[in-house]
Amino acid sequence: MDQLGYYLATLVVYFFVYNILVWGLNIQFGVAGILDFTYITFFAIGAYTAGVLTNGPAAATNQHYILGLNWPFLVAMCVAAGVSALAGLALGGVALRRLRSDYLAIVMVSVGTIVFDLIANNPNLFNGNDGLGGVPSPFNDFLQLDPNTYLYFFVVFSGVIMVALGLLAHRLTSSPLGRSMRAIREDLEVAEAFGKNSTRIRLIAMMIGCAYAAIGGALLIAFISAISPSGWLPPETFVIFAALLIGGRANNLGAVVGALLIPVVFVEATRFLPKWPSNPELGAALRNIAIGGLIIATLWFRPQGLLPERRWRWKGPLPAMTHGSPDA
Amino acid sequence: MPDSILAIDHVTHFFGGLKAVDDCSFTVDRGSITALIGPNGAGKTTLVNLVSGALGCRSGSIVFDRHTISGRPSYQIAQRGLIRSFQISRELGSLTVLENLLVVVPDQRGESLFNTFFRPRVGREETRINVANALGVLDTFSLYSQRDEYARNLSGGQKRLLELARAVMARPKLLLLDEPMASINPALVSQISLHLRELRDRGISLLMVEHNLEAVDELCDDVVVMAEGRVLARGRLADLRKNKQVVRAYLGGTLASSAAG
Amino acid sequence: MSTLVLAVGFGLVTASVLAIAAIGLTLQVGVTNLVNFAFADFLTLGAYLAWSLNSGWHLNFWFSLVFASVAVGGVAVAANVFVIRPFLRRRTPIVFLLIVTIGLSLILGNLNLAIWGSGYRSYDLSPEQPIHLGPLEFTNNQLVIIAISVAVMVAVRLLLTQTKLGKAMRSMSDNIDLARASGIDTDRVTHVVWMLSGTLAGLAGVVLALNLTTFDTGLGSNILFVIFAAMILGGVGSPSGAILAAVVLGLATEVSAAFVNSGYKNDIAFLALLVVLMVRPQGIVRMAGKN
Repeated sequence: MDQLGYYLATLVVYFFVYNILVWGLNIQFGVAGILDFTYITFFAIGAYTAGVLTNGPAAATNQHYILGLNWPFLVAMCVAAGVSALAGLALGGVALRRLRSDYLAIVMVSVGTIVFDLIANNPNLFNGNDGLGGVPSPFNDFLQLDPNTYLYFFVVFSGVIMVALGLLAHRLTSSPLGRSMRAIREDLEVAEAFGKNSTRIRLIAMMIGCAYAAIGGALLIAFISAISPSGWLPPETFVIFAALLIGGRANNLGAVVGALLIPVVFVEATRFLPKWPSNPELGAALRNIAIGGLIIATLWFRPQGLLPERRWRWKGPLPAMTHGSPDA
Repeated sequence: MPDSILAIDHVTHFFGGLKAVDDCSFTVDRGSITALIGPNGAGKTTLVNLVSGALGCRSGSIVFDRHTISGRPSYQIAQRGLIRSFQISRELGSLTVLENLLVVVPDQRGESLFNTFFRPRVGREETRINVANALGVLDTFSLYSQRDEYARNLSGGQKRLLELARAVMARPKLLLLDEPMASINPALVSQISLHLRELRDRGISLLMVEHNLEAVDELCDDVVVMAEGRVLARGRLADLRKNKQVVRAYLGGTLASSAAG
Repeated sequence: MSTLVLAVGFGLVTASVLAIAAIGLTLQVGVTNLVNFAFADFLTLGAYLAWSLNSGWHLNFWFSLVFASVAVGGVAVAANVFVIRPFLRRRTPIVFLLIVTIGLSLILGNLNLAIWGSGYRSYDLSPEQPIHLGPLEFTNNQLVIIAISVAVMVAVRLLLTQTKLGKAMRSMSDNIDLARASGIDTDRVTHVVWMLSGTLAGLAGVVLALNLTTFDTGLGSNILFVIFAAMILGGVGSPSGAILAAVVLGLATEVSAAFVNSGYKNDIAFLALLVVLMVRPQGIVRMAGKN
């Protein structure tokens, strides 16, 4: 296979993973209104969990990490989603009880920083700053494919998972539960005045979003075979926020558009700009400046994003109206 | 003697140093339409907030339908059937008018996580029934044609109507209405009164804070007067008009001419 | 024992730096009711501007410090006028305002990186002399930092209690509608508050960089959330609370770093913040009107 094909297939996998990530954030923020500024931490929890579950014992490698159980990937992925959801439950349990949005955001980032420090400073947990590596490719023990063919397999594999998660996300947002989340997002006090347990419902949104982030992380670590703390710094959360805001908040298709535009097209395209010799970071810095600018511009000119939230309409049969109010 | 659906017992509430509600006690009879009137600042809305759980009741007790609700979070009180409307309309702006009614229906099995992911048909069936009911309610309040409009795009008067429609849709046992007639077209007021009386006939009790004394006269069996955080008097409106204390409270006790009333 | 003494010394200096920044932030959040996530980048900008003046153009360090601080104050006012205020005028919900400040932070922070690049910088100063105060040992620069911090505390206190502007700031912090109704030009006071908080942030950045002796573009962001913690723990809008919280957090973080892996230094502050907010979700609010 040629270089271009390889590169494109890699981009496609990244696109699929980012779709999942943006969908998860959409459930937390777009639908339920939770300002999760530490979303990337749950991605990391998913990646590390899947990594240490699918890897063999650490003693056999020159890394240090816990577990190392050689579990099959799908099992590990589900466990990773569960662990991340529990972490979201723990954090949400502390933070989501009537904390005003700004304190909530501060608490979330603070906890994310604590987690980051814990992982970076405890090399025995997940191999610290060197990162966790050597993660086996899913199913390849069984399939024994060569790297080129395996890449195509993984594209299909991750695509299937992505589509399933997309359908679930759609099911959630157009359901009565999704409607109650939107009500809470709109006006928490009113939602509670009509019997909605806002803390419980927001925790559900939080946990589902965390599970999505974790699955994205698990897929990515399985794909690249490694992850390190530098891959999930706090600004990453805001790339995902940018994708969600620009693509269309509370719109699952908008999330896809955003995932395509920002992490894939924008970030990848700018990767090819020549590096300034005296300042190698310039490209990345300019890119982040542009992202910041795009966020502000979008919130100013088109706050609903490219694909706005869809208006819910009842599509089924309507009963006959006895009062005869004519349709406008 | 009809039993009381709501019993407020020695409730007091402070805002910092200010006593907004001062040892308030009264009951609301089941199946009645009771008005809560009084001058501005009398503590009526504070009392409504205390009963609905929007404010924590730390002193005194409130019993609703034989359950003690004082100190409980507002969503639990609402789940028991005590539904309130707001003095200033608080529509859910980014939801359609129809959705505003759908979301308040209590005990929706479609809202469970399990059903949402594994049995979506439950939610769809429930929604179909709720839509049918909601459309009827919207029609009653002249909002049918706006059903797919975003609630934030309604006019001020329409938002007041939506406020009422939404409260009705929530299957209340007791409706706690905060100035339901405010900003409503006078022509509609008597129509609304008619609907409220229909609700009472269906067995729903009503407690309404109102300034529109004409509507109160037409609608309410029983009137409670509050002033300066305290319950001043209680009875039929005609009798209360003759009560010197009540008159003085309403007019601030400064105008000599009011004594003629 | 001497580790502890050393740590206390460090703690006092860190507390001084924290205090300057926390006062600036708490005043701004108190008056505007908007938590500004770009605050960290004001610190970093101040440090780098001072560096350019001092090491680049070979200007006197103290002059650079003053100039840089004031310049950052100007940037802060510009941020308010051109970015924040337009959104406020549109009544954008607070959730999106917070994201706007994140966008600002992305821009300002990366502007720092783009202009000055990664890599460590230091100021051009005469070598430091150790000075002993009782059992504690400081360098002369550290003592100057503490002195500056105290001067700032006094100046701010005088501003808030003795001047009309300060009283306007306090009443806006209490209840903005009442303040507006009593004739205060809230727009003008808001501009001044941003100027003040930006200047204090820039100043804090320079002295922080001075204390660390070498610094990079992560300067502000490494400490931002500790400043947030100090603000919330001290009570939003209360400079004296911010000072107290800064002292507590400064000492706590440095002392703990002496005994625990220093990678966790700031986490002590975050844990304190978590505990407080769990017990009191509204924070240690000084005024009832603030929610």
